Amino acid sequence: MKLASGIKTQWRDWQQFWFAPMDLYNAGLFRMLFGGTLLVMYIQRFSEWKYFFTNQGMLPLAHWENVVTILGRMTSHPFFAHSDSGIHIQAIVHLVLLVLFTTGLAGRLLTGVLFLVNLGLIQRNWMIAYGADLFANFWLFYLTFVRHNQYFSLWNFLKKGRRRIERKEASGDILSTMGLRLIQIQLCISYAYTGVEKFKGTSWWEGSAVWRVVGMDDLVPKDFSFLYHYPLLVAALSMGTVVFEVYFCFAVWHARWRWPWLLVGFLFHLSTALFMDLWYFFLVMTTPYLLFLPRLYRRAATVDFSDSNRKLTSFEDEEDNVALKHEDNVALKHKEEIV
Amino acid sequence: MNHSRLIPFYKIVLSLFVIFQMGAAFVLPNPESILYRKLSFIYEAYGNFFGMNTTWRFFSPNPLVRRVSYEVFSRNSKGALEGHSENYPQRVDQENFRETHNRKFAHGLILITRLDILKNTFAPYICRKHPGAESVAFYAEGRELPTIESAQFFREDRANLGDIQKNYLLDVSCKPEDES
Repeated sequence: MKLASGIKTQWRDWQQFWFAPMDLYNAGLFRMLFGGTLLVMYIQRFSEWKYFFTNQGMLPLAHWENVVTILGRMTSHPFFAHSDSGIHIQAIVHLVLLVLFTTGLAGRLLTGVLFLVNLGLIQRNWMIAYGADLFANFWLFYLTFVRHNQYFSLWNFLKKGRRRIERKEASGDILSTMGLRLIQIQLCISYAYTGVEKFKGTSWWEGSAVWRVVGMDDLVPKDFSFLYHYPLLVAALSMGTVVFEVYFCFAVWHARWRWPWLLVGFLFHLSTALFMDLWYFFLVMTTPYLLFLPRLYRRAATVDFSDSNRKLTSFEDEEDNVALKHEDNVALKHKEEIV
Repeated sequence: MNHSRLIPFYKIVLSLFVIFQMGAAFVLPNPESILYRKLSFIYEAYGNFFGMNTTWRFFSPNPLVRRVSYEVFSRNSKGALEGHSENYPQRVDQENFRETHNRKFAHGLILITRLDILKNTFAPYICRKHPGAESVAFYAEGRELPTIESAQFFREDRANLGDIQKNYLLDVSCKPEDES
């Protein structure tokens, strides 16, 4: 009897975590910032198109199978076109889909297509993929489940009635919550692994890793060798990185620690962007932080001077209130269902 | 059929997917583990298919970054063999974007650790890029700073503080086998 009620409680908590309705405002903001980052990043990759992706470049197709086998990434179903012109078209489709994704014109289905097209381009040449690509691949996969274009979408400007209707529908969406939770969990696991991996090395353990990084003039263009004046700072930065990564998965779920941990993470990635020019990696890693935060903005009551504007504002506020009330009702209903 | 009646069923199916996906996120980043070896029949094909079989090793276990450098040997007008050195990637300011530089850097790190890929893909590319080349010698190169205590003693800037370490990787002939 006790066991049954215990299982019931666990199942209720599980549902609450994975499927209870979530506000999609921050998810929309995340999608827009993340999509914009990818768009710029992949336009730049396009500048070396021939070298990265064609038979005249670094990896002719004849060697592809051999290379992916060595790298342990062999798959029987690669998603890329097998001719130079075909993959050129694939890359252009990729950029078009990214524009649709960033502007919120792409829904879940098109996001799924974007994920596969993006994956195909990574598969064509795994050797030029780095952290930003790998995380982008994960985020795109999980966003395939999320109704991410409720907010910050061009549709909201193009179709007047869409915003209200879509928001009502969004509140009961179990897939969206699951997708957003998977992004959060994936981020936690990735940080934890990165932190634990660092314990294998002596330099992180003794606190000199940041000093070693300073020596890499290819990655750190500016000379930070003056840091030898501040050995304690070097040790604190090295140890702090490991502590931040290992404990991220615990701190970020704790109300008291969430904000400081996300702030430290933001500063940590910002410093890699400033010192190592890893701006895209910084954005790909920190934009999902939005998913841990409460809704960033709620429309405040505004006073406009023209009558027509005032009318419009009050109408929109009313619309918001109706939508919010509806969201509350759905959440309540969901809770009742679970109980 | 009433859609809301199916929701518990959807939740069970999605829960199974969530468990599977979380398992993948735990197992795939650590291919040396027993867990990976025992569960690879489930996760390996899935990870490879969706590109999720990735290890998270940014600057771990130790920060050690090397770039590829190479010497291209070709005959001059007098028939004497002479060589010139190049780096891969080139300096940041010589690349189109920092972004492409980073990608080439990632590529270079793979080449240094996987000499068969270097030999079969990059070396032929360098030979094609230098039509008159006879052979190319590849190295891994990077600066290593002394310990922080030694740096406090020397009090120099980075260029004078650290040594450039250059390790030989391999030689490749650019001539087709039937000619050599």
